[in-house]
Order: sequence, then C-alpha cells, then structure tokens
Amino acid sequence: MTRTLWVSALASCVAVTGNFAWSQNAPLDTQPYKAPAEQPSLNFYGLPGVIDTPSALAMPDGQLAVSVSHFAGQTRTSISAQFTPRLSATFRYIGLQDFNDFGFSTFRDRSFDLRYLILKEGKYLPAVTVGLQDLAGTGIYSGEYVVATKTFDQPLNLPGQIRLSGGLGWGRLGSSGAIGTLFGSARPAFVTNDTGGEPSTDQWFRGDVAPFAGIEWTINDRIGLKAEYSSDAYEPETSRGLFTRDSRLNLGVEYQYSDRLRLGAYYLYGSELGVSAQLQLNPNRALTPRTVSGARPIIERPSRATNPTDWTTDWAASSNAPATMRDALAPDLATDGLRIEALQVLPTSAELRFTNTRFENTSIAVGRAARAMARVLPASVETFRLTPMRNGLALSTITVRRTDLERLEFEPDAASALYASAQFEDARPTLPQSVRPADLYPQLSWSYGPYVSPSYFDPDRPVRADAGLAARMHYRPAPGWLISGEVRARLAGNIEDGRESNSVLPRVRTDAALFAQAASTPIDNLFVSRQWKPGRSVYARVSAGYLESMFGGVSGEVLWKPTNSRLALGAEINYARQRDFDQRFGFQDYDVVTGHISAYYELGRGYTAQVDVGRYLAGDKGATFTLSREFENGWKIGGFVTLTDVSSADFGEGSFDKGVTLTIPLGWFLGQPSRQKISTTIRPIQRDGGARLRVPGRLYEQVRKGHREDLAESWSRVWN
Amino acid sequence: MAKTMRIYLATILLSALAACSGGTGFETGQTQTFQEIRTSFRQAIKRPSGPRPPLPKLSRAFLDSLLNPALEAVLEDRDASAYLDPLQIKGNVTVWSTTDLSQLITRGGLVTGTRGLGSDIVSSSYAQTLAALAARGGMAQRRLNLTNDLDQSIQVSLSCQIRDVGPETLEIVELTFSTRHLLETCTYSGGTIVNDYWVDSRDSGKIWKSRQWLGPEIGWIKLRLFGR
Repeated sequence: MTRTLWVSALASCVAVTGNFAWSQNAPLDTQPYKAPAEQPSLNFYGLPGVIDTPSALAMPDGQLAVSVSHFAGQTRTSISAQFTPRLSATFRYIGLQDFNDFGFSTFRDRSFDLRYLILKEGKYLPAVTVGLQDLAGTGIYSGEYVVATKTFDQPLNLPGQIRLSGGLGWGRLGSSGAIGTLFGSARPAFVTNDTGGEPSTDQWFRGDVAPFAGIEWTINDRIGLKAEYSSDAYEPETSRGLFTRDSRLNLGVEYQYSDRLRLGAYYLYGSELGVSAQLQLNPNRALTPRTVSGARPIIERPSRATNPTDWTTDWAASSNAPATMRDALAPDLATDGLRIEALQVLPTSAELRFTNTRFENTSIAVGRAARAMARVLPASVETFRLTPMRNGLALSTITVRRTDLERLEFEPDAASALYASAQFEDARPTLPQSVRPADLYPQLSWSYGPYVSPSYFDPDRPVRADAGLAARMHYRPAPGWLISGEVRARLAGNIEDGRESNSVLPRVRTDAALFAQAASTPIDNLFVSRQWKPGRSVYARVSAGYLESMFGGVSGEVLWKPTNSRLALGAEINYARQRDFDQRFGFQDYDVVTGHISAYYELGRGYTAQVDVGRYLAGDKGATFTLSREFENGWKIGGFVTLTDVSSADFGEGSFDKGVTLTIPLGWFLGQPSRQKISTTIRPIQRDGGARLRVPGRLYEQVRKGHREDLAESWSRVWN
Repeated sequence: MAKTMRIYLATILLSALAACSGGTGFETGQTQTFQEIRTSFRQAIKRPSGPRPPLPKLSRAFLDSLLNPALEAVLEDRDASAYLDPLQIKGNVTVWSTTDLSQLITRGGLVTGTRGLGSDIVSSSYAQTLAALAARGGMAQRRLNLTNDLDQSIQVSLSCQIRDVGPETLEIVELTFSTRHLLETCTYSGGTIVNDYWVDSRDSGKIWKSRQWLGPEIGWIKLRLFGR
C-alpha cells in the first residue's frame, strides 16, 4: 500500500508549480527580471547544509548538484536536483569500507531523499525546510528533519555573511542528544539486507528527536568557515569499529574554486578528517553562454500604392513558378540548417514544410523560415504558413501575416505581438499541389565513432561501462520510412563482470552480463520503420526487426496529439522475442506480447506528466508514472515509478522499478546551436519487473516539439 | 580498478579517433554527438588565445571612402570589440552587423535590440527615451525584453531620468564634434545603472558616442559612430 506514496510524492511536485489551467490563447509568458539566486553550499549528504547536518536553504530553481564526500572510510556520492523552486530530490550511492562481514568487505547502498521548502526566508523570518532522508526502507541513513536557517549580512561589522541553522532530527538525525519523542516511539532499527525500496511511512518522524545546529560564515567570495553540533550518533559505524566518535562538534573550511566547483576540508566528530567536492550546474546558466547569431533581414515589399506592378499575381499563371521559388528558397534555408520538404504557392498564400537540423528551439527555425519566405516570394503572397517537420511527420502549421513580419520586427514587444497575431493549427497529413525538391529522397546517412554504454549502481560497483566503436546507418527511402542499423565493436568494459541474475521472473533485463560476455561485435539494432499521419492530429508508427540490444519483434503505435492540446493519448502494442546473447540474428525461446495505453499532459512551464498502463516485458501488468521537467534549451530531468502485479519479494532488491532520467543538450556545453543531446537513465537497480521494450522512435517526443505549448515557451527567439 | 582505468583510457583514445559521418540525411546519436564535440574543440584550439588583438586603426580617408557610416562597439565586460556595418536601414532604425551576424539594432542611436551576444535584447520600448534625449532631459520609462540561456522571455523595466551635464568636444578619427553630454540614470529591480550619450549640439538625433547598458548579463557597450 505504501507504494502509492511514491506516486503521491511525484504528484505533489505538480501542486507547487503554479496554475495549469487549460488555455487556448494564453498570452506569452514573460517573467520580470530577477537577480540570479545564490547557490547554497552543500553538506556531506549532497544537499544544502553545514557539514553533516542540513540547512533550510533551497538551491536555485532547476539546479543540479553532484557531490562527493569522504570521511572515516565512507564515501557518499550524491546527485541533487531542485525540481521546483521548493521541492528537491537527492539520489545517493554510498560505500562503507570494512562494514560487512566483520570488517572484510565494503557495504554499498543507495538512498533517496526529498526536501520541501515550507517557508522562504524573509526579512525577519527564517527559511524552513522539512526533509525525508533515505526515505525508502530501513535504510542506513534514514532520518527526518525540520530545519530553519537565517542569513545575516555583515553582522557585528564582520565581513561577509553569516548563516545560522537549527533544527530537530529523527531517526539517524535524532540518535544523539535526544530530548524525547514527539510522534510515537516505535522505530525499527536498520537492517543490512532488507529488500528496501518502499517508503517507510510507518517510521517517519517516530522515535527519539534531537536538536542540531550549525553556523556558516562566508568571509568572502572564496572562503567559508563552518561549524556544527551534530545529533547523529553514528551507531552502526562506531559499533563496527569504523571510527570512534569523540565529539559531536564538526569544523570545516571550504574554498569556492570556481562558480560551479567548491572544495572543503573538515575535522569531524573529534577524530576524523574529511573532504568534499561539490559541483553545481544550472540549465539556466550554460557552460558556454548561448549565442544564436542574428538573422538576415526581412526585405520589406515596396508600397502597393506606388508600385502596383510588383503586386500582380500574373506570375501564378506560369506552371513552373513554384519550382523556381523552391529552388530559390532551398539554398537560403540551407544557410540556417533548414531543409525544404515541400512548398505550396498560391497567388496570395504559401505553405512551406521544412526540417530543422540545427536549432533545438523550433521557434528560431520558424522565424528563419519566415524570413526566407519574405526574401524570396512575390509581393502578392501575404499569408505564410510554416510547417516544421520531423522524420516525415508534419508537426503543426503556424500561420503568420507577412505584413506583421515587416511591421513588428523592430517594435517593442515584437515577440508577443507576433505570437498574438499568429495562428497555430494541426498540419494536414500531406500538402496538396506542392512541389518537393527532386533530390530529397532517398536519404542515406552513416557515421562511425566511439560509443560508451554505462550502467549504474549495481550492488558491487557504482558505475560499469562498455566502450568501443560503433557504426551506424540510416536509410530513408521515402518520407516517413526508415531502415536503421548499428553494429558495435566492444573494446573494453566490465559490464560482463556483473553479478549473475538471481531473478525469479523471466530474465528480460537482468541478463546484461550474459549479453556482454557473449557479444564482442553485437548488432545493437537493425530495423525498418514507417511513421505517418492518418489524420490531422493523429500519428502512427510501425517498426519491425531487432529493435534493441536484448529484444526483437514488431511494434505498432498510434498517438493523438492536437497542436493546441496539452493532452495526448497513445496506444502501443508489441510482440517481442528475446535475442540470442551474441546479439547477432538468432532468438531465444522467451517471447511476450507487451503494450501500453498512455496519457501525456503538458502541465505548463516545461512540466509533463505521463501515465502508461499495460503489460510489461516479463508479462507483469501495471502502470508507469512519469513526471519530467524540460527546459527550453533541451535540459530535461524526470522521475518515474512503475508499479506492477509483481510482489516485492519476486521483484527482488528495490521492491519495484523506479529511476530518474537526465538529458543535457550538447549546445549547453558548446554554446552553439545543436540538436545533439546526451541522455541517461539512472535506476537504483535494474530488475526484471516493470521493464519496457526500448522501441526506437516513439512518437510523443518527436511530435511534442513543434506543437504550440513548446513553441510558446521559446517564442522570444522567433525574431532571432 | 585496473579494468575501470582501462575503460577510461579506451574511451579517451576512442574519442581522439576520427569519429566521422556522412550522407544526405540528418540524424542524432552518440557518434554524431562525439563528432560535434570534436569539431568544437578543434575550432577552440584554432582560435588564438591570449589577449585579443586591438582593432585596426582606421583613417578618416578610409572612413570617407565608405558608402555608409560604420559603428565601433566595445563590450566592456567581455574584452570584445568590433566594427559594424549597416545591414539594413529602415527609417531611423539601423541594423548594424559584424561579418558573423552579431547585430546591434539602433533607433536614432539608442540600442533597442541585439542578436548573437547571448542574453539578447529581443525588443525594447524607445519612444519616451528618444523624446527625452531630443529634449536633452526628462523622465522616461523603458522596458527591455530579454531572452536568457533557456530562451525564456525576461522583462527588465527601467525608470530613467535624463539630464544634460554640459557641452563636450569629441575627437573621433581626426574630426572634432561639438556635443552635449547627457546622463541617463535608471533604476530597475536589480539596482541602478547609468548610461552616457554624447549628442550632436545642433542635431539632437545624432549620437556620436555613447555607453549603453544592454541588460544584466551583457552589461555595458561603448559605441562610436564613424560618419560625418
């Protein structure tokens, strides 16, 4: 029953992100300027705090922090994300040397925290945060806290800033110096080999409660001093002789090496030295500032009153006029990385269909395409219809008046004025009476180069990876058709050294080591697919072949997503069969019919919720709940949980499937426009329950970019 | 451990190898990503390091030979300077551009837009400020619509006062101009900023020299107009 809490934890993120009313013609969202928020320093758990205790500060919205800390033989690697301005989540992987088996082996564990900022710091009131640490199972770090922090600028004529934090801790954070109990006293002790994974609501805020406090003095931009009074007895560690805890006082000094990197050295519990490194990134502040060079000008038409001959529609009588215009547009569009797919020109209107190969932001591509049309098309063409396409699918049609382009470019509020006068509608499946470039299809592209295939957090090792060379081929014989394949040559790697599966379910994902052992030159995928639009707001896909590294089969998908709708509905059905371990052409005996009914909803400001209900690879039935946040520059962070009819015991470690996904666009690192991305999915552990077929080219992500909600959020660049 | 090290070594070696792609289609994927990273590093290596060379000195004879006036721009916070040419002139709007299409959009000498500088000014209001500059004093509200690294629309509202601090004679490439030095003091949610304009004493529409604030990210730009 406690599983539902995971869902409600995810759902609670939604409640704090603001107003999600269904709106057809909402004005463009413009935010008043705010000075960049200060980033707080982190503690040994990788969350805002002093040394080993938390503070109440929140990181700037969207921040991603990676930290590593070490003392007394214990290393904690944490990833924290500020998912909304108030809610943050932390995922942590720890290693405790000499902890297991009477001091012979390293104990590794994963833990997950949630923090919520209840009260923002005001002039007189402190910030207040409530936190759940290692909230699932009887984890080694499980504890809860309520903490308040107040900042004082240059107090007592001292330079810099002083922050005072104080709070109450339960669980591990209430294990030393307890002052009693508040909400009941029963609290189970930590057990090393529990399956874990389920929220332990029965123990939150139970048992002894103890106060903790800390002070942080930021002397200048570089140096900070920290001191704290810890309420953690470190009972599991000290009882196993990892270290002796002589004091509850910790001291530290930190050095801000760069805007993003902070290093610290500490003296902990009267006996141990410790170190930490904290790296903080924000999607808002690109590693290389994002620049998009200016566009070429819109050439204004001569006045109709003084040059009536320029405005005639006589040209339309010529049958090769559209082809001439297509040939003039193609090179103009190519300078902006746009490729013409089809052009329809009528005496007073024109529709351009194009593929964007350069800009992550579709609005830029739409603006550039409109400018090109204004440079090339005859004066009488007043209505521009712009249809971005992706892999043969017409995403949506944006209609703008040429007069508005000419009139608004240099005016105040140019972007919102153009948005207000533009129309967004579903694109027709195909464009009648159109001309296409003769050489558009077939398209062949190939690439070879290095690949890295990581897998995270198995019980023995935080990261495993295979690396080698990959050769990829994509052949598109006609619009919507794709024949694709990838062959790999593995040169190094340790995925093959992973544990042998102990799963009692069909081993649909836990045989990764066997796959790696058997295949040195695997065919990662080889398939044919076709996608098309059966209707204006309906998209369809059929794929067949070796769809992914472990399964082959046939997959069919239908998606309904009108451009002006925040809601999308989809259905997918697959027949999949497990591939041979050598990942060549053979199959094993296991096969399954798997499929899902999906609902997607754009909550606004980049938040998307998704529910998939259906049957999974191991034949288990259930649902996956996903909440993700995508920033307009392509940064994306999300979390998912899958609950199926597999029992916790059958599922094994972790009890049920869950994880986070992270996507960072290449342009964020390089500062230049790019559509390439770096993506990864991190699961605390990969098991066989709740596993989905990895079908290449699922429709929703292809289609959503280029629909109105997405265009609206990045519209400020349409004039760029 | 040894095995992990080997993976890292292999990865580094492989990245150094020639990742390569070709064909007529456009695809995204890991090999393409590696290739773009490699191209970008190559370009970064080719770029000269160290202090940037100063702009070449221009002579009045050369400037007189140009069909259009030119603009000298110095971004104070970035140690960057450039000469810009008019790419487009429409009424009192001029789009000034470098060869790589970094652009400044001016209206009567007031910068109302930028392109290719990062957190660009998409558009801004100008009427009250231009009126106050023409009157050599007065109050003006101005609104900058900026875009950030997330391509979001950010608005900076400025409340400004313009005053005349007296006559000044400027020398710009062998010519002297008699100007009035106008100061514009503006407050916004992030603090106070001051802009300087040196306006022709006879033609208040001509700003020969200025130092203008382009938002919290870009900071100030110094401009000199090369014309007659």
